[in-house]
Amino acid sequence: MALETELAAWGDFAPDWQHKLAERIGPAREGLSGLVSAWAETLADGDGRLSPDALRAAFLAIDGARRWPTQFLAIRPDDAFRAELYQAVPQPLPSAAPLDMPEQPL
Amino acid sequence: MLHLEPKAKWAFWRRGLMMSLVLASTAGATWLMGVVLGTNSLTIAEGAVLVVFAVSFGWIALSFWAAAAGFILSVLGRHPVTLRPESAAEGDVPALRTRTAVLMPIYNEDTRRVFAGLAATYRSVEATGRLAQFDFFVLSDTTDPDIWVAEEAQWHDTCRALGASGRLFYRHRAANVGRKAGNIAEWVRTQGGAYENMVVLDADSVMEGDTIVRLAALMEANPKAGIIQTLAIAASRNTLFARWLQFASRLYGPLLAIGHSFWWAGEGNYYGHNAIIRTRAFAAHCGLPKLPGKAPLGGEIMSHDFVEAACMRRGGWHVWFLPELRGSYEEIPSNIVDYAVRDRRWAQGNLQHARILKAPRLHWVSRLHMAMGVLAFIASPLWLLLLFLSSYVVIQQAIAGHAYFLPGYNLFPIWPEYRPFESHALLAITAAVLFLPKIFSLVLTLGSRARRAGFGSAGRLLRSAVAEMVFSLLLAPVMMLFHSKFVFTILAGSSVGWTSQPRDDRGITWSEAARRHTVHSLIGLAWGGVVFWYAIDFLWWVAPIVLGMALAIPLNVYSSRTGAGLAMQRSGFFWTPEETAPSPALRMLDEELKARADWSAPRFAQVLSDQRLAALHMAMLPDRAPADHALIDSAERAAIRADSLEPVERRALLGSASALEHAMRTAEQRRLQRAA
Repeated sequence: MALETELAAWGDFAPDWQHKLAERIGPAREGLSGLVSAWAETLADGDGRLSPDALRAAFLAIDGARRWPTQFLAIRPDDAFRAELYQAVPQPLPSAAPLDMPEQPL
Repeated sequence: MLHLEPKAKWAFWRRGLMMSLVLASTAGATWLMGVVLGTNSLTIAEGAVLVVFAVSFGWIALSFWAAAAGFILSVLGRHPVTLRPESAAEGDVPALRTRTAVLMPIYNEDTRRVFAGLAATYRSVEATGRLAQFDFFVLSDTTDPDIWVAEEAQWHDTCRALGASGRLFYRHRAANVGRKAGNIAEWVRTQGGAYENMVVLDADSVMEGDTIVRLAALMEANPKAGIIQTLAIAASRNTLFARWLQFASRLYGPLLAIGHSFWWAGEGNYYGHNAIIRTRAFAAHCGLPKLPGKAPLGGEIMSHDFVEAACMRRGGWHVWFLPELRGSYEEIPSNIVDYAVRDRRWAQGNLQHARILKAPRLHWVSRLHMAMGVLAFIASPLWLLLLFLSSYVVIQQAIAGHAYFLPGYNLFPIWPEYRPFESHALLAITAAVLFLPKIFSLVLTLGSRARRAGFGSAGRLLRSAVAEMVFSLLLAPVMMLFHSKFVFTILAGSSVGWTSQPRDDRGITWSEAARRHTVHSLIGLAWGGVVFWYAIDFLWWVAPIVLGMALAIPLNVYSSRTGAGLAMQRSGFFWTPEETAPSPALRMLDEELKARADWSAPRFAQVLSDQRLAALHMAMLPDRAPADHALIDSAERAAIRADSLEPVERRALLGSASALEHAMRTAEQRRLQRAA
């Protein structure tokens, strides 16, 4: 998939900014997906629980491409951006805490 | 906190008292009926009348004595369980040590209403300052792809609006095995270990935060409590039918609930929602099996709540019913048709309980709950039979006349006897058993300025009570016919599926009402006609029954109208405390509904074109397995025209991340090709 198309999946960046991003990402060996994984790790504060899918959903939800374009793939994201992003990260379920529930005789 | 003390000794005496009163009053009324019927010996038909009368009277006598107990306890200001002047709804709540999950299982519901109700409950818990001890879960069994997509979007918006990320969770189950009970059980098996308690809500439930916190504190204070059930108050609907039902349940329900709580003691019942449950006890004792055989009486247990309460009690945990805990709300069907449809489901579930009555080691009160559930529906064909037989006896006498001489030689004629004293006494006793519980509630409400104000005023309360009685009289025969049909069709092997209940103010058209009630009306007209022709003196006795049946169609149509409900409201009818002084959670529900008034629910096809929806959905999907050929085919067709997919294909596509990615990639390629 073309890099522009991949970037478009993160929202409507301004055309000149998208061009700059493409120029920056293009030579990177790991490609956009690799950079996003690294960015997700940075944002997750090392607990490794922020998946790239959840990050993208949150970034799109806060309209990050328009409102926080400079924070995209930023190594040291702003606290304000980080706080807003965290509120939008979908966390469908907490960690599993299984219980045994045997069938009862009736 | 209220300390609930289950002692077998006092429970035994309370139940002994209740059963003695029920049996004595039933025996007395049946004896009177026997005297009235058998003045000149008993025919077979009269004997049948007597048997059916005894069973039916016993059924209403139990409610009467429960209401009488509730009245006495309310007048004395005593708690139905402890008999002390205290209430679980009052006093400070200590700091909570345990964590509680608030669960809302949903199935193809009105998404806007679901999340408005949950947001109101969440905000109300937050307002108590105890939010840290609670997590909220939306447990979706939704099969409609459009609603699934809408639920995810609404969940995400609600999390952001409430700042509830990491506290308000959403889980969608691919296969709704075990229906609602299976939905809850799946959560218990995967998440239940992290929570001491779970508060189970219905899709239309709203609960006051203070009530939820009190329930959690009560579970801590009473370590042998397995379930504590609140009395859910019907609120928030505006059709005439719903407003009538809300008024009736609000005015008469609490007294009956207090009376039942008195004799149920620690062997109470669970109604499936607006209750708190000890999670580990539930996991250990309430895993429900499938019943042998096919539906309607076999297969998955439909009315799981009674059975779960019985299993919990069998496991040594107590089940309490605390009606004094306010701030527990639900919504009711807005018209007679939807009400009957819900009853059809309940009828099947309750009749299924007949097969569980013999389950090993159940407490006898648990068996009684289930037997009463069966009788609640069997009572209708019994009443119908009683009324038909009574009419038959009267008509037979009118046609044949009185037999002055038996076959063979008779020295003296048998003169017709009439027992006016016994007849009038029987009529008075039956009327008292039916109407005194209502009068108890009225007296109690009129006696308190605050309670009177809750229903508008004394005048509004009294005229609403009269209107309620008229409406009840007209509706009862129709429901009797509905229930009788349900019982017969279920016993004949007909099963119902699992559909979501309409939760808005739905009006009924004349054609739909005619389709549902033509047979009812014809039965009423024919019955009235025959009685009029052969025994006109008896017509007054059957008039309320045949009138209700004959008027079923207009009654259904007009009572389903919101305009009629609001007009009655303006005229001062059917006011309830929930509208004269709505509680904070109900006000929050109103705010949340208004905030979502302009929300346009997204649909399945938008997932392929709306990046935000797509990203959110992909982030929620646990299934990352490669897609098979059928899914790839669906994905490619969806990329061309999403509407061309069958609902089952849409659901499968939504459930597979790889197939969905393929569909989105294909759609993008098509877009680029077109652009080129």
